[in-house]
Formats: sequence, C-alpha cells, structure tokens
Amino acid sequence: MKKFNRVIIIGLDGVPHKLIERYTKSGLMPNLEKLCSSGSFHQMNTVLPEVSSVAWSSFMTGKNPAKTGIFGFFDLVPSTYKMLFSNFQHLKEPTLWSIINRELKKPSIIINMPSTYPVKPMNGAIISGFVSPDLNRSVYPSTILSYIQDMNYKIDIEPQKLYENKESILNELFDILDKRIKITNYLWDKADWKLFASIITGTDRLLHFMMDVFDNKNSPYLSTFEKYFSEIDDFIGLISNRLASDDLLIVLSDHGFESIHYSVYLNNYFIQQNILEERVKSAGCFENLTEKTIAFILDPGRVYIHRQNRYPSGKKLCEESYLDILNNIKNSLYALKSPDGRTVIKNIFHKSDIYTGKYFDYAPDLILIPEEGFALKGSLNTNNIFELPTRHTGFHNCHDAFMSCNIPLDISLKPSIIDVSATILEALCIAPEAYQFDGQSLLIKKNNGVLE
Amino acid sequence: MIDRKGFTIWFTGLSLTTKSLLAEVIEGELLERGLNVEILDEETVDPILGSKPAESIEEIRKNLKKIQFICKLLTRNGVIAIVSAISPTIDIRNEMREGLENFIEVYVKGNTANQDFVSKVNLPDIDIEAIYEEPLNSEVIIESDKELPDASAKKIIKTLELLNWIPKVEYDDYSPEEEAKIQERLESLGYL
Repeated sequence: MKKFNRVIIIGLDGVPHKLIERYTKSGLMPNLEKLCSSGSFHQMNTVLPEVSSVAWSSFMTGKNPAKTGIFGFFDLVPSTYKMLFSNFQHLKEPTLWSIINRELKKPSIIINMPSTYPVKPMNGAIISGFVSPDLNRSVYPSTILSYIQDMNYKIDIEPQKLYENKESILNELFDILDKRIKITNYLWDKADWKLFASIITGTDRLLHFMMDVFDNKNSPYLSTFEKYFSEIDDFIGLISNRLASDDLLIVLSDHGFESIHYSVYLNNYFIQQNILEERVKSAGCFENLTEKTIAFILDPGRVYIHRQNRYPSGKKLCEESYLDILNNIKNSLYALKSPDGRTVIKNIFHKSDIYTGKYFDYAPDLILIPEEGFALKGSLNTNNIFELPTRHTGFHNCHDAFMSCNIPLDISLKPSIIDVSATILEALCIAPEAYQFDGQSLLIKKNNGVLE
Repeated sequence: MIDRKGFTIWFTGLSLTTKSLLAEVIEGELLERGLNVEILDEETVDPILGSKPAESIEEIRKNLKKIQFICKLLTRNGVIAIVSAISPTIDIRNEMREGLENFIEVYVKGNTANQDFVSKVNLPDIDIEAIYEEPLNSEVIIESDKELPDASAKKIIKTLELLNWIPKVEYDDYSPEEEAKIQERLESLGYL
C-alpha cells in the first residue's frame, strides 16, 4: 500500500488557475510546471462565500461553513447589529493538525495560516496569518518569537498606507515573501513533523491591487508582477528539492481572482428597491437599519433576511412570508443590470442548497454568485450602486482556484478545497471517515480500495 | 507534546439540553490545545458496550458504570474523558464522581417542554423527567436555553483552567484598538 510519511502544503492565497496555467506554460514557473506535469494540476472550487477566512477555515477542518461557523471576515453578533470580526476562537471544528496530533502523536508546522489568530498551544509550531493585529498572540511556541521579531517579520502589508504607491506595495510584498521563506527554512528541520504548511498571502494582496497588470501586456509593472511569481516558483523548487520519496506535496490556492469591471454596492440597490432603509443616509453601520428593512447584505454577497429573533428590530415572518420574501429578493437581484446593460447576478443559492451543520441557523439566507467582472460589496459607506475600479482592480471568484500535487489524483468531479483535509489524512493513513468530513479524499485507490 | 493528567467532564441534564453539542465544542477546544480527548455519549456508546435501554434506575446505574470504567482507563493514561449522559439521580452521579479521580460535573439545564418524547423513546418504561434530580454540587451550571454554546463552552474551559487541569490561554476578545486596526485593514482591501 502506498502511504506517505509527511504532507507539505504550499498555499498561494487567491492565485487563480488561469494565472498558473499561463505562467507554467510560458516558462515563468518551471518548478511548478514540473510538479503539474509529473503529478497533477486541476482547477478547483472553493466554499462560499469565496473569501480567505471562510476558505482556509474549510481547508483546515474539511467542513462547510455551517460546521466551521465561519461565514466571512465578519458577522453580526447574534441578536444585535454590532460587527463581530471572526477569529480562531470562533472556529467550531478541530483542525487538521489537532487530528494529526490525536492520531499520530506527531507535531505540525503551520506558517501564516489565515484565520488562526489568536494562536492556541499545539503540538508543533504555528504563526497565524491575516488578520493578526498583534505578533505576540500570533506565534506559538513563544520560544520562536524572538527569532521572528529579530528578522522584523511582518504578517501582512499595510495597504492603507500604500494606496497611492504601487512601488511601495511591491517592495513590501517582496520583503515579506523573503522573510516568509526564511521562516519556512528555519522551521523545516525543527521537529519530526507530519504536516508542514506555509501559506503565501502576498499573492492575494498583489492581485487585489494589480490584477489589471496580469491582463495588460503594456503595464509598466508587468515585469515586477511576474518577478514576484518567479520568486514563488523558486520557493516551490526549494521545497520540492527537499522532499523525500514518500512525501506528499500539495500546492493550492483558496479561491480564484478576476479583474473588476464594476464594484456593486448591493445595499444601495436594496435601498432603491425599498428592501433596506437606513435611519441616517450612508452612516456606514448596520445599527442604522430601521424596522422597515426586509434584508441586507454583508460582504461579499451574503443576503440576510431581517427576521425577528435574529435581529432586534427584525420582522416576525411565517414560513410562507419568508419564502415570498426570498423569491422577491431573488427576482429583484436577477433583474439588476450594470450601467452598460450587463446582468450582474449569475446565480443565487439558498443556504439549504450549500450548507449543512450545527451553525446552519447563523448562515446567510442567500448567497449570490456574480457574473464575471462584478465585485459584490456590502458596504454602507457610499451612495452609488455601481463604481468603476480605482484602488482595487481584482476580486475573488469561487470557481478558479487551483490545486497541484506531486502525484496524480482521482478527479472524476471538479475538486473543492473542502476535499483537501480528507486527502491529507488519508495520505497519512488516518481514516477520514472517522471525522465525517464534508469533502472526500482525492487519492487514487485500486478497485479493492487500497491506495495506489 | 503537552504532558498532562487526565480528567473527566461529566455532562448531566435531560435530553435536548445540548449536552452532546457542548461535549463536541469542548472536545474541539481541547484538541486544538494539543490535548488527548475522547467523548463518551451514552446514546452512541451504550449500544457498542452491549447496554440495553434501561428499564429501571438500577439498569441506568449499571450502564453508566461501564462508561465510568472506560473513563478510569482513559484518564489514568492522560486522556480527557467527556461523558454526555442524562445520569438522572444524585446518588448515581455521586457514585460516578467517587469512582473517578479529577472529575467535574456540568449540569446542562434547559427547557425541555414538549420534548419529553425523546426520553421516552430511549427509556420506554421510565419517565426520566419525573425522576431527574437537579444536581446540588455541579462545578458548572449551563442554562442552555438562555446562553449560546460558545458562552457555555467558555465557562467550562475557564473552570478547567482555574483547576489548572489544562494550560491557560488568553481568549480576550479583540480590544477596541485591535478591532479598529482590523476594520481599517479590511476596508483597505475592499472587504467593508
């Protein structure tokens, strides 16, 4: 039976399949090309909504958001309109590394994993990723903190300080990447680990601010943009060269990216359609909703019906009225057209279509999938429904993540990020069935069920 | 790996008071801290142990003693045992406590009105609500119809930390300064 001794994950936050396809074919990423051609390379779906906090939470638990309890970077505190920023203590399911520790009594090394702040004691080492406001609470064990501080490690760029200067964004991204690689090297030999995960999140930042560069051959930033991916490829090469013959390497992203045609402020559309009413115009907070509000949006396309028991001034609704409201909102959203006449919403899911789990009641009532080029927003800070891209030229999508592996995989259906946990555990000979994952292992099995 | 002694968390309370849900939340939290933990839920464990649905208090006691025995094996090997069992009488619960070193009882109190049919399905000849005796000396009391599972779990974890049975972790919510920083960061990336 083929089994693996260790699993190594390299995460490239937000990198779309189409970018990897182009850069492996063009020779810009030869190490990744080698991995893709000798092993496997697939387009991958992510969980909805397609933001990193949700996607990485599902990656690290193998569960859908109604089980992880993470539906976005923020939610509203139950029975209030106060914003709650999700963090690691809100994650409701055990992580891969805690399962590996339970089953194999072996450590894991986790570097820059989004949504793991504040870190918890674990067997191994962890450095949390975005959003981590305090480095002291981002690192476990504390014995590695001084090394990290001494190198002037940064978890993320500070985009708010760099808006107007793409050069400084790029310089900072290169610096952070360099330090991330140094830490990966530093921790590689520190323990007899079974799982090693190093996540590069600078890719997501680069694509938020410079997705237009990817599509513009004449951009003055193109060579620097490409150099960034070339350095990432060097990193993949470095890791590939350190692999033992019984190591499994997976390189993957957590969601796709595409260029923004329009940002769409759906709460303003709801105001226009008399679905949402604010006490004070554009006050920018949800405490400002009146009792006449029927529904509202949280980023990126989460629709919440303003119901009694869930919100202080929500309406009391019987099941029939609730379904009527959902239908009216769906019709209204499908009818929305951009200033250049394009349909904005491609698909709408009811929560029962995509979520199951103990935290189902906290899920958004509807999840919206936009047509290509429309970045859906829940902000209440503007009066416009449509805005042309200015600072941000790229936004996430749910269908164009990627996954590459040093072995062929069993891909009869398009894989999802939620399948990765079961794949990792099965590779380490831990039966995924015991953990009731929502995804399934992608390892190829012979007819008798034995791993090939 | 963190080397700690084992202990037992014994959830008592009527059916549908979220004992099992809370047991899973606590299990997840302890696993995340690198601790060894197992759940013994009477609904799933009894059939495996060959325990038949009890028709008397003595049969309930007999079934629970099997679970107690497993707790003893687990905890002496450093594993944390989480039990979810109605365990209806004070006498039975005291017997469980006395037979186990490092034991805390968590009473999950909730409104089970109109839901007693569940108990009757499991225990056909016993009106479990009628015989259930409210605990007098539980280390933690959870009012499951008045608080969210996260808040209940925090109470239990806090108790374990105070007893020094698990390592203490600071779980303060974000400070206002941290929240402002996060908000600014999310705004700058176009998420707000």
